[in-house]
This record gives sequence, C-alpha cells and structure tokens, in this order.
Amino acid sequence: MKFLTRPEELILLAVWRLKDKAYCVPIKKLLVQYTGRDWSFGAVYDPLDRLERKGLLESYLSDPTAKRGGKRKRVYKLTPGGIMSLIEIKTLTDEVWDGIPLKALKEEL
Amino acid sequence: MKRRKEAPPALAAWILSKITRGEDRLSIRSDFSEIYEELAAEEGTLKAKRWYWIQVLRSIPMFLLNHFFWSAEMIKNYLKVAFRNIKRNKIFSFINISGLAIGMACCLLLMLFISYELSFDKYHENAKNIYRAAIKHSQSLMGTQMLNVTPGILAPFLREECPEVKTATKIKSWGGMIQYGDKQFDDDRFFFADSEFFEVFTFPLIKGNKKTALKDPYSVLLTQDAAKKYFGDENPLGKVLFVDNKHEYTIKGVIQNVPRNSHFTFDILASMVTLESLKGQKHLSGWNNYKTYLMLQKGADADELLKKMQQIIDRTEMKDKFILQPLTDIHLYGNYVFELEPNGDIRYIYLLSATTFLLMLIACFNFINLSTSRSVYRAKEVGMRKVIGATRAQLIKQLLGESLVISIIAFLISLTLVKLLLPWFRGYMDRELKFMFFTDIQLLLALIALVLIVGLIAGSYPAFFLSRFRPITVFTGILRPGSKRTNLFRNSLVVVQLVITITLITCTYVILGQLRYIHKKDLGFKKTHIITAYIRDPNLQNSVEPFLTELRSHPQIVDITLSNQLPYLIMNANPDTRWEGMEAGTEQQVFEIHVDNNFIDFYDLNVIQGRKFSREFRKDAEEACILNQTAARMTGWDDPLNKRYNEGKVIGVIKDFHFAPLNVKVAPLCLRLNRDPGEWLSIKITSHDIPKSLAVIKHIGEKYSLEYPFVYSFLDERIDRLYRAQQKLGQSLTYFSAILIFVACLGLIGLASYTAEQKTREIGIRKVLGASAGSILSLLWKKYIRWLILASFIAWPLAYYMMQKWLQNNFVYRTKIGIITFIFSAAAAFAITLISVGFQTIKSATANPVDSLRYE
Repeated sequence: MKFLTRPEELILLAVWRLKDKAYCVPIKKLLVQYTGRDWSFGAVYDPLDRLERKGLLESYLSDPTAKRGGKRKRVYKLTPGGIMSLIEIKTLTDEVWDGIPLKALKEEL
Repeated sequence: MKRRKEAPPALAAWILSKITRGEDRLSIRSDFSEIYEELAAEEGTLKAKRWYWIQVLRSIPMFLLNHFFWSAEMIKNYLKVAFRNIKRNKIFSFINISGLAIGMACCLLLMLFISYELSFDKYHENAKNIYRAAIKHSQSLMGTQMLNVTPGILAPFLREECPEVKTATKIKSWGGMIQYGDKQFDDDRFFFADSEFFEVFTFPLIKGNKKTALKDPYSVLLTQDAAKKYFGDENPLGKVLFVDNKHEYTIKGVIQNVPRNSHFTFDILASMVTLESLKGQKHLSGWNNYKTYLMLQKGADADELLKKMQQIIDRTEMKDKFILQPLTDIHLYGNYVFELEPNGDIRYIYLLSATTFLLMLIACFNFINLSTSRSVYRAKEVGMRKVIGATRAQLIKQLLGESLVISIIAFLISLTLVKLLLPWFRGYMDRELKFMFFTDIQLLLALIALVLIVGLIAGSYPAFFLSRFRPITVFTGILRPGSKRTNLFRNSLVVVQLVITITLITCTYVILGQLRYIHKKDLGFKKTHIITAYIRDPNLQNSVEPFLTELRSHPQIVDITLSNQLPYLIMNANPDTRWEGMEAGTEQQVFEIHVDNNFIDFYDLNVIQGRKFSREFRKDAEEACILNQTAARMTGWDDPLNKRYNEGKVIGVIKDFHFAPLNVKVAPLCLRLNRDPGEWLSIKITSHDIPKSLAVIKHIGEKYSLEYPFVYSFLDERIDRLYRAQQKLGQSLTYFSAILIFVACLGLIGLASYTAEQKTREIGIRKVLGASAGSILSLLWKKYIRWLILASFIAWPLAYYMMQKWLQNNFVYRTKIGIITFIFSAAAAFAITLISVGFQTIKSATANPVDSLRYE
C-alpha cells in the first residue's frame, strides 16, 4: 500500500465530503476550517495535481456559472483508486488506534 | 442589498493569466476571483486587493524558476542537436564555417583599419575646431588644384584681425643636417613653428614650458625618440644642437612622441623667430611657404572668415581663393599638392568596404545554399518535432539558434585568424593597427552586431524553409526534390556568386594590366642603367668638377649630367610665365627644369625643332630656353624659334616626355641651363658588372662628400616607387580575388557534393539502362555550363562599365579593355568550376550502379 501525505489525505477527504462542489475554493475553505492553518493556493493545487497524476482523482471543467464571470470551474472527483486509498487509510487508522481513548492520552501529559 | 460586482485589480489579474498554463488559466483565475469577492465583501476592498496582489506575487518566483529551468533544458537539447549535426556533416560544416570565418576575418581586419583611419588627428583637445588654410588655384593647365601652402602673414593676420579665430599657428618644413657630438643625422623631420603651435595642437611636453619654449630664436624642442637618438638617457635641456654645420640651437624642451595616427609627424621643432635672423624679415612674409592652421571660436562663421582672408590675396594680382579644411578631414579627404606626408584616401576605404562586403555576401550565400540543400536529411527530425508538439516558431528558433552557433564558431576561428594575420597586415598597410576589439566599445559592439547579423541573415532562409515541412510529407516518404520556387532561389544564389566571381576576375585582370602598362610605358626618356644621387654637401655642389672628372675616368661610367631635378618628377613651376604674343590677363603655369649642356643627350630626348644647348653659343647660359611640344602648342606660335620667352628666347623644341606620374597629362615644360650647379647627379653605367660600377660610385662619392652621407639609387627604382600606391592596389586586389574565388569554390564544391548525393540513384538507373560515363558527365555538367554562361553575360557588361569608368577617371594614359580580357575571365571561371566540381562529377559518373542501387 502506498502511503499518502497528510495534506493529500485531507484533500481526498475534502473532495469526498464536498461531492459536486469539490473545486479549489471550497476545498481550501474546508481545510482551513478543519486544520485552523492557512492554506495557500499552491498548497492546495499541488497536491490536487499530484493526486490526479497518481490517478486517485479526476477532474473536469464544469459549466460556466453566472457568478464567477462566466468562467468554468475545475471540479475534482474521487476515482475508484482514490476511494480504495481512503478505505485503506481508514482501515489502517482504525486498527492502529483501536482501543486508545483520547482520555488516556491526555492523562499521560 | 445590491452587491456591486467587485473586480480584482486588473494588472495583477493580467500577470496571473500570463503565469498560468493555458488549460487551467481561466479556472485558476476564477478561483482567485471568487475568494477576492468574498474577502472584499467581508473585510473591504483594500484588504482584498492586498491579498490578491500578495498571492500573485508569491506565485511569480516559482513560475520564473520553472520557465527558466525548462527553457534551459530546451536550449541544452538544441545545442546538443546542433553539435551533432555539425559533426555528422563534417564536410559541409567545414565548408560553411571556413567560408564564414574567412569572411569575418576580413571584416574584422577591415574594421580595425577603418577605425584607425578615422581616428587620425582626433587626439588633439580642440580637434573639432581646428582647420587648415589652403589655396584653391584654378589657373593652371591641370585644372583646379588645392595647394597646401599659405603666405607667412596669414597666421598673424588671423590672430590679430579676425575675432572668429581663437588662435592660429604656422609651420615651415626644413631639412638639414643635425649634429650633436659625434651623432649626426639628416633625416629628421624638422619644422619651424611659432609659439602658438601648442595653443592649437595638443602635444604634451615632458620637459620644458610650452608657453616659452618657442619664444626665443635658435630654440628647439625634440620629441622623446629624437632626444634618445641624440642624447641617450641624458637630459637634453640646455644642450646645443648643430644645424647644417652653421648654427647652434639650444634645446628648450622635450615633447611626447607624436602619435602615429597624425597627418604629419615631426622630430624637431624650432622657433619660427629664428627665421628672422636666418633669412631676414622679408622671408616671413614670403608667399606660399608656410602651412597655417587655425582654431575657430565656437559658433564662428567660416564664410565671414574666408571673406576676410581673401583680402590678403586680393591685394595681389592673383586669382586664387583661400579655403578651410577641418583638421580631421585631412587624412582621408585632403590630397592636396605639397602635403607634408602622404595621406590615406577615402576611396580606398570605400573600395575595401565594398569588396569585404561582397566576400561576406558570398560566404552567406554559400551558407544558405548548403543548409537548404542539406535540409532533406533533417526532414525527419523536423517532422518528429512537429509531431511531438513543436510549433513552427519553436522550430525557427531552434534552426536560427543553430546558425548562430555556427556563426559564433566561425567568429572564434576568425579571431584567431586575425590575431595571426595582424602583424603582416600592419606591415602591409603601413599602419599601426592594434587588436583593440576588447578595449574599444564601438568596435566591440560592431563585432557583436556582425556575428548576430551574419548568423541571423544567413540562417533565416534555411530556418524558414525547413520549418515548413509537414510531418505527413516527411513520413510518407514523398520527398519532392524541391519545388520550382526553391530551386529558382537557390540557383539564383549560385548564379549571383558566379557573377561576382567573374566580375572580380575581370576587374583584377584589367587593373593588373593597367599597372603593367604604366610600368612598361616608355616615358620618353632613358631610364635604365642610370644611377641618381642628390648632392647634399653644399661645398661639393659648388666645386663639383674634380668629382665628376674622377668619376669619368672610370670605364664603367658612360655619361654624367647635372640638373636641379630629375626628369621623372619635375615639380618646380613658374606661375608667372610670359611669352611673346601672350594674351593679356591670362596666367599660365609652366614647369621648369635647369639642366647642363649634356642633359638632352644623356636622357635621349628628341629635339624636333631648333637645336640643343651648346657651349658654342655663349649666350645660351642666360637666355636660351627649350620648350616641350605642349609648351610650344600653348604659346600658339607657328614657329617658336627665336621668339621671346620670359627673359630669354626659344632655341628649340623637344618631344614631350612624361615628367609627372602618368595620371596627369603632359604639361608645358621649359628647359634652361643651370645657373647654380644642379644638385641632382645622374650617372649612366655600363650594363655589365653593375656591382662594380656601384662600388666605384660609392667609393668616389664618399671620398668627395666628407661631411654628408652620399646616397644614390637606381632611376627606374625611383620611378617604380612613385607608383607604389597603385602597386599596393594591384596587390591587394589580387589577394582579395584569390580569397573570394576560394570561398566561391568552397560553395561550388559543397553544392556539387550535395547534387552528387541526390542523384546517385538516378545515375545508377541511367547507367543500368545503358548510359555511358560520358553522357552522365555531360548531364551533370549541363547545369553548370548553363549557370556559367548566364553569369558571364551578366558579369561582362558590369565589369566593362566599372573598369571603363575607373580607367577614365584615374588615368590619362591607359590600356584598352579588349576581347582577350573577357575570354580570359570566362576561361578562368570555367577552370575554377572545373576544379571545384570536377572531382565530384567524375566520381559520380564512374560510380558502380551496383553500389547505388543496392538498397532498392
């Protein structure tokens, strides 16, 4: 199984959550909301491109919208490969995190 | 609330669109705009704009990096391919590069020469405002002449009465024997100059004060080299030089050496006031003995000044006019009579530039032709690149880049060539040329421009031609041998090359013929086996008889004569000639030479009327004049004998002979008997055992000329030296033709090789079908013959016209351009083509068809 970087993983998840609306701006907003850090455009575009090259995402140009000056948006969608990687990650995380409550970690401090 | 459409800052948006790749450009822009609008709505336009700009600016470095990285990769690839191509076609690359290198080397040498010639006299501080005064004399038989002489009073007049003139100076050249201790030389360039000399010209003094150095009489300044010659490392200040064994001059200063790029140089300057005591005040107001230079005030009116100067002439009866010539024009445009030193000529520069340009043109034509003919072999590469996605613009860039690479390689080679040839060139041109490409900014820029222009121009046609290939045509193997249009263009290039070559051959032939004609032409007097010497020693001049007697006692000496000039160059003229029956108001300048009784026999001059000078007629010494035919015609007399002429009368007429260079018509000449003994000694020697005769002359000459060196030379060598400039021209032209023909040959060889390769299959098939080697040969040759004939018909009238003009303009006595000339040039061109192309064609014609058709 190929490891994905954290940002890549987060982006995949964001794309999955956003369904049709998975284009640059909402993805960025979602990431900012979750991680509380600033994500520059490059930090979002780069992983998106990489994931597309790896075949985990595919993209298409949507119809022009009235809102954004009539320009098309590039919308991303999970490929079956992408879904597989998400499943792998979730399985792995669950196994490794199995039985570790958050309370236990906090008591260690 | 109605929301206004917020637009992101236009400039930043534009930058953004330039940075992003085509596909995603719009979507990325829209992403940016969306956030911008939200930000603008939430936190205000200013914050939004700031955010936008920051985002755009942060994206730029990455973009630049990427762009340059990939561009560098592409350039690496282009270079790799370019070098591979060069290596793969070694012969063609060699021909291309050497042709260009030779052309460039000539261009470079020319550039050095031209910039040197243009720099003459420019080192003076006030060079822009310095002019020389000269006289325009329209009264002579030889048309209007510019004389580089002015009256002695001109300089003081200019200083005192002309406010337009800031200052003026005059100089007078003088010869003499200079001596210090045991060192004596008589070949120094010695001038008298007034104190204002250093105000006009910038000649820094190493020792002494330039304001006072020339104030007192018998003061003298030396140049560094002159000082070294006489004084070694001692300080010359205050020491005394002997001049002409008569006068003592005190050294008041040492001047920095005069730069070689000056229209005149000097070794010794003496104070002008010395002349007052030497020759009396009258001498200073002598006419036409001085050279005057002046410095104009800024904004002065030259015409006004000329009018004022004209007053001086108007006070006399002469009809001459003064003219002013800028100092910086003298070297190239001034070829006045009585120049201090021989000047260059602007026409020479034009000629050199034109020929170099032609050479470069031929080299470029070669390049174009060879590159396009090789294009067949690059078709696959071009096709592949297009398939992968190269645009035509990229291909053109690549191909232009390749020709630039070749241009640069040729340039580097030409630099080495120039470095090697420079010493020889320096001597040949007789100029101090330095390799100043890297020190002179102008030259450096010209150099870069040359490389770029050659590379781009020569490369543009092949680049455009090759980039036009369509992948389909390339890969389905339908290779047309070339459309009508391309063939026409390339063939016309070859024809133009041939035209240039044939024209050049013809012109060289004519010019060399003219030079030979001048060399061989009978000048009208005997010039072989004659030694001439100038008697310097004034004592010897006055009592020359013992010297002559001793000379005559030797059997090697056949005859001797004395005159005040030599017959091949008579320059003394009498502007005020009067003869019986002369129209009032006319002025005529007649040349005069003073000779002894023996002169006419010695030089085999032909007396056609009357008699020669003779001792039997005692009055001859005072009043006898002998005129040449032109002079006799000038007078308009029917019978010139016994007519009054100046203060004497005419006793005879001799046949015209050439006493000036052959580019002037024979002028009127008058011979008179020597009053003072002549200084020029002419000695006729026997034709065998010349070294012995020379030894005798040397021995006796040195015996009688104790204090002065006795220098002698052959008369015919002297005459040849007169024509040195033309000989140089002939030589230069021959070298040039040789180089040009060589480069043109290179081109023909290349073309022949290409054609041979192209036609291998065709020839193989023909041979199989029964063609003989001979018929193949004629097939190949037909093309070249056709080109030769066409080129000849264009070149012949062109060459004829040019050469007629040149001969008419420069020579009064000239050769005729005959049929032989044209036959010769055609034959030469034919031979050249034969040599270049012959080998290839014979090889193709005799090739075994088995080899060429093996792979069908």
